[in-house]
Amino acid sequence: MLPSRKIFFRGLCLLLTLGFVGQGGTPSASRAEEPVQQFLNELRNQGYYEEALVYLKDMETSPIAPVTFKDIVTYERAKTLLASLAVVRERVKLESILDSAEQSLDVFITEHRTHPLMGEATELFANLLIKRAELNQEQVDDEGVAEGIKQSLLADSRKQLKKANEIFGNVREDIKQKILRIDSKTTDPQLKTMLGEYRVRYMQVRLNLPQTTLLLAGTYPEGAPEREKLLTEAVDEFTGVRKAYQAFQGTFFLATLGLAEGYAKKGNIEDALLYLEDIFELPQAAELRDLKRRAMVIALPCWRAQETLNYKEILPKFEATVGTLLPSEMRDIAWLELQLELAGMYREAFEELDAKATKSPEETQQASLYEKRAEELVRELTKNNSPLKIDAQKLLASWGLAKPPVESVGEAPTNFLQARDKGVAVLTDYDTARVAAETLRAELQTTNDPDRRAALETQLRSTEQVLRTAPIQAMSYFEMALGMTDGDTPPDDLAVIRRYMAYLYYVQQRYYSAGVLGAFQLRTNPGASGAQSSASIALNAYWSLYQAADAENREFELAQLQNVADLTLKYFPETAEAIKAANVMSFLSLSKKDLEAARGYLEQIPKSAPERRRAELSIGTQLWSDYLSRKFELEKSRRSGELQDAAYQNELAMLQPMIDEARQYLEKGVGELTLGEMDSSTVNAVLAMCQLYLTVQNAPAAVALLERPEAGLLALVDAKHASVQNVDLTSNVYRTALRAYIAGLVSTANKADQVAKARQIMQVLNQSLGADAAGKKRLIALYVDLVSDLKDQMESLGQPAQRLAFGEGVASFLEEVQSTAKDPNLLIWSAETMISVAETLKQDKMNTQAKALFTKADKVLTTVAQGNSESSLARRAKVQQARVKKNLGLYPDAIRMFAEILSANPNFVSVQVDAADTYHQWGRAERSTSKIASALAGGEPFENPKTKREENAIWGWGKLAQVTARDSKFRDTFLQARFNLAYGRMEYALLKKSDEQLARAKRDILATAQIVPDYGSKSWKAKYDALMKALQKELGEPQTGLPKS
Amino acid sequence: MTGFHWQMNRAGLALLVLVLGGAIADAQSDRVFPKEGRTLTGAISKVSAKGITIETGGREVEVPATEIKMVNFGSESREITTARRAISEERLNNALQILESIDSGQLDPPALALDVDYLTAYCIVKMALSGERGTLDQATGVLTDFLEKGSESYHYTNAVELLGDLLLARGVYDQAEAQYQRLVSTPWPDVQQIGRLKVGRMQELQGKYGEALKNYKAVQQVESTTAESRQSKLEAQVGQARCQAFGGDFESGIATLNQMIVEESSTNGRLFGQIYNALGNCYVAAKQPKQAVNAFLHTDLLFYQDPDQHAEALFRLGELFNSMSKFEESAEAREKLKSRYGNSPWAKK
Repeated sequence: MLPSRKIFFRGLCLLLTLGFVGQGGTPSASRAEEPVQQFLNELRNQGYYEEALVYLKDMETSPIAPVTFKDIVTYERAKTLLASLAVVRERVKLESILDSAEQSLDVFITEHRTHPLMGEATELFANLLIKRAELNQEQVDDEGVAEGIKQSLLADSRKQLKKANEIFGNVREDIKQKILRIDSKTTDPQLKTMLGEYRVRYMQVRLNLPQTTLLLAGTYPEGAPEREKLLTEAVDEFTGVRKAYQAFQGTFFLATLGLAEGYAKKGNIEDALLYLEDIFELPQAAELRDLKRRAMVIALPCWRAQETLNYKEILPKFEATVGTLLPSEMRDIAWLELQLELAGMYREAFEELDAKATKSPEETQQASLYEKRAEELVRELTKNNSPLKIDAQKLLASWGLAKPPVESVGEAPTNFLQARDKGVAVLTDYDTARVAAETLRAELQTTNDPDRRAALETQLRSTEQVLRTAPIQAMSYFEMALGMTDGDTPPDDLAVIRRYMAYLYYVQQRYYSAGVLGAFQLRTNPGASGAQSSASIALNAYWSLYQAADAENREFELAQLQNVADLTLKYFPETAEAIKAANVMSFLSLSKKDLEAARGYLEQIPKSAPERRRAELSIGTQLWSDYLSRKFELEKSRRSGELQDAAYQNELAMLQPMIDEARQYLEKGVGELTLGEMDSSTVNAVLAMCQLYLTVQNAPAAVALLERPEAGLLALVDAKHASVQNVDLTSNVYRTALRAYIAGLVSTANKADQVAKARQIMQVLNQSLGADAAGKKRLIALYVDLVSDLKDQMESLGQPAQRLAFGEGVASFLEEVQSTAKDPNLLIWSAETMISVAETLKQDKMNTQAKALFTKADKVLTTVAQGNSESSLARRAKVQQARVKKNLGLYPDAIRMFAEILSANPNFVSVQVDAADTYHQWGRAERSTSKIASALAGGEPFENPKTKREENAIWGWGKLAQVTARDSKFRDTFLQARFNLAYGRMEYALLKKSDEQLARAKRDILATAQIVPDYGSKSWKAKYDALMKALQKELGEPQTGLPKS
Repeated sequence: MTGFHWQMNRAGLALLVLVLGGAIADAQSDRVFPKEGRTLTGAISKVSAKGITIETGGREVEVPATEIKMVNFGSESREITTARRAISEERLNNALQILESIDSGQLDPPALALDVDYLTAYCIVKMALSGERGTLDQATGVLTDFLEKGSESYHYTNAVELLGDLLLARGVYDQAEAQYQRLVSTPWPDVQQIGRLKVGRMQELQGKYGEALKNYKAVQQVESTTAESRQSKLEAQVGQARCQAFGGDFESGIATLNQMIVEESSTNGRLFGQIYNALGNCYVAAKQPKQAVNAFLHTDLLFYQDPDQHAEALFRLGELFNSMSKFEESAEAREKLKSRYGNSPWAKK
């Protein structure tokens, strides 16, 4: 598909730069007699855009530049930048150039509102808008662009084109008024010149208007009434211009071109070709080449739309236009693309003739000429650094013409140049073979015809042979060449050899060698031709080494990558290599948890580059992960008592900027991810965003993200997409989805629907994970984590009323689960969650609601405990039941149940803690010394069947402390038991009014420090200290607290 | 093993000019071509290890051995000239064939006979060192013979240095050190500087880092700005860095070498070969094999001009790649070492 949309912009450049429109030149050009302006124009005309930009920069401060020129440097810069677009192919670079041009124009327009070039500057801005519109339309044609984005791009494009049209309309009126103000018969030479200039510009604008209309029509689908209307308008306008400017050949033929394009787009191919014929018949002149090229771009699809192609008639016209290119055209993609198309057409013509059963001698000769010319043209395009090298190689391969390597036999090279050239020739063949192999493999996959398959396989075998031998052969030539160097060998020649060698090492997976050579070139000779490729080779080589290295031992690879990436960014900013470098380093910085560096690299990826979004998502994901880690640490500190509630809340609030920043990076990108972009990294980004939404209590947004069609996480899991094959990731998706559905119950209007969705997730989970023991274990762990998630989410709500609403939402879901579920694990989980919600409500003094939930949970647990023969399930249910009884103040029942569980399993430390605490709370509630004594010394005696001795089923704090003293994993339980032992003893002493017991409590405290120095942590020490002071107070001693260590 | 190049530069270059000069020399007159200044034509009246005295224009002029670019004897035969040309073109085998056919005992003056003996020994030593012909022992014998009778040759100092190189190649560092030490005792500062540099290297190879450091420092303190002297100073700096690292201070050694990489021109391939080899050795000592591979690869791929440095790099790469289980790369490095530097001590390790 030829880029017909590009015609317009290039046309404007043509009209502006070539003199054949009329008297030629813009007003500024004719006024500017200074060599500075002339030199600049010449640089631009010759295509030396970079040099022109450097020159302009110099002229900003140079004393030789006239003041009047310094005034227009920003305008000239914008003009140069826009002209340079013709030789740029990478979209990112194009956008970056447009950004720079727009900045320069903004400066000029803002600072020079009354400057004579203001009108031209405005027109230039309109051209810039058109270029942006063209880029948007090109993106629409890209693969994998979501429909929504396509529409948005087209809408942007329309807006830009309408604005451009408006500008051109205003400019046309403005110039018209200026022309009318000057007497057409004036003899004043200055006025005469001005009149001439205005007329030229008027013609240009008249051409611009219908051309923009044509582009605007292209933003609507075929057959749309708007499109038809706009095309008709454009055709009419071009017809008018043609009539008005018959004597001005340049304008006349450009209007003819526009008219032909209009007809072609309307489907009126015959008329289009008729008008184009006028252009093809023009004489062969350098000034007319671009006009003819553009005519060819319009003509080609018209010819192809016809039933048969008359090669004999078309090829001579085509050949005359693009068969031989001028040096400046050889760098121009538009010309090269046409040349490739010409080669293809020669090949088609050859194949058509070749397929004939009988051929006349003339036809045989003709076929041979066509074949030869086709190959000739394509081979030329595979050489050097042609931007279409790969396309040409593919085409060659599709014709079965991947050439075998240069024969190693024959004369050995005798000097550096010969060796170098032989190496390059082999390498070119290797490159061609590489592309050919890909093409052949692709064709083999889709070909069923046995004969064709056999032919393809033969070709592939021969190509693979080239792939195996050519790198070795090329390398030997290059090594030979290096052996023939001397002090006079030009450094650039050496650089070429080294670049090729780096490439070959890379191909052979000798990454260390490839990296050394590539990085050396980049470091020592960044200005040399091919240094960009060297950078790319080095980056890829070290990246391969990085990936292959042990995760614990990657400092070397990382350092090399950083070195190469930083130099690439420094020397070749905004190129594809630089973007890749920044992307890689952003990713690596994140893996080192160096967010600052990651942000720095992100900033070096242009906003329009697709890689930018991915990098942003990675940073957002890392920020979110960091936030969760920090929050986890805070919670740990709170649980251990190191942080009091107020301090915890305070610290938590200080993490808010992390949430905000993570959101900023994630929110925009996650919703636009397409199916093709989904991998474990983007899945994690979406998960992070969902969790973030849940944290900020926006469950509907999380649900919306999870439920996106195609690329949504639930859709991916459902489709078993490659991105979610990891079990942990799948579990995390389900867990987050469940959490989102449950949390969403607070706000949703359709609770039943939401509950059903949550239930469905649970069913899927049961089916996918509940099949074996490991899966069941994972399932339980997932549910336990979910309880914790929900508890956290509930506790993070600011107000008790909010917590109540959340709790009720959760409870309603759990009730639904309980009413229908049969799986005991699920039922126990639902009861545990309910208990967890009830405990939070109880802390909020919402005792009635809490009691109701405790009671419901108890009922479920009773059913599970009674209905299950599996002892572990029944025991788990009974433990929770006993906790419920304790929470409900039913201490005797709770103690009975704990005793029952513990008499069978006395070593359940966590249950022993709950049981001792039950005695303790019971004692406090009834101010009972005997119950407090039981809390300290244990209770519920029974005969241990193993030891045949009577012992307490419930140990109490004293034995708990003894049992846990020697095991570091129970350090916290030990400290808790010793503390409660002392505290309980104090409570007992106060009820009994016993100083002796108070003194014993003090000894308990001091003895603790002998086992765990300094009480293990600051928080425990603070608690023990406070208790010591309380005891000292009761004993009438100075409240000095713990002895100073 | 830093001496090969220096030897080629001084002795080889002198030979080249001698050949060219010989072609145009007056058959009757002797000529001495000093490194700087005009050619002296006349009759050589005295030749010693210190230099040559020539009678020219009615007066006697003394030219120190280190300042002699070339000497052309008036009685020199065409064969000798041809042999000299072959040496200058590094066709040592051809040169040796010619030289061995000449009976130096029959030549006159005796200085010319000594000249031919030296050229013969030179070819034998160089070919033995490169593995092209003969053994190191045989070469040592020939060179020792020359030194015994050639104490009055203006090549004497060069021959001493060559003997040091031979002993180094045979791995007898203490004996090589003794020969290089004789260079330090010469009256010429430039030769002393080279001598110290080589003595330092020998001490380093024997693990006498403190002594080596002293010599390297002395090399750097020589007040000379000639290109050769600057090269020696830079090489001494590399030696210092190696000593630092092998003495246990890896970080300083590595930092010095990296700094040199930044500051010096990489067109000085010989120096950079030394720097990267030293860097590689520092990293080996610091147990950082990947960084070491990276350094030695610089010598292998970019700064391979000095055969000895290149051979060492290949040897180290063979070992390092092997330790990293990159057996193919290891085998390639060893293969390259054997095929290119078969007689090098590195290939025999």
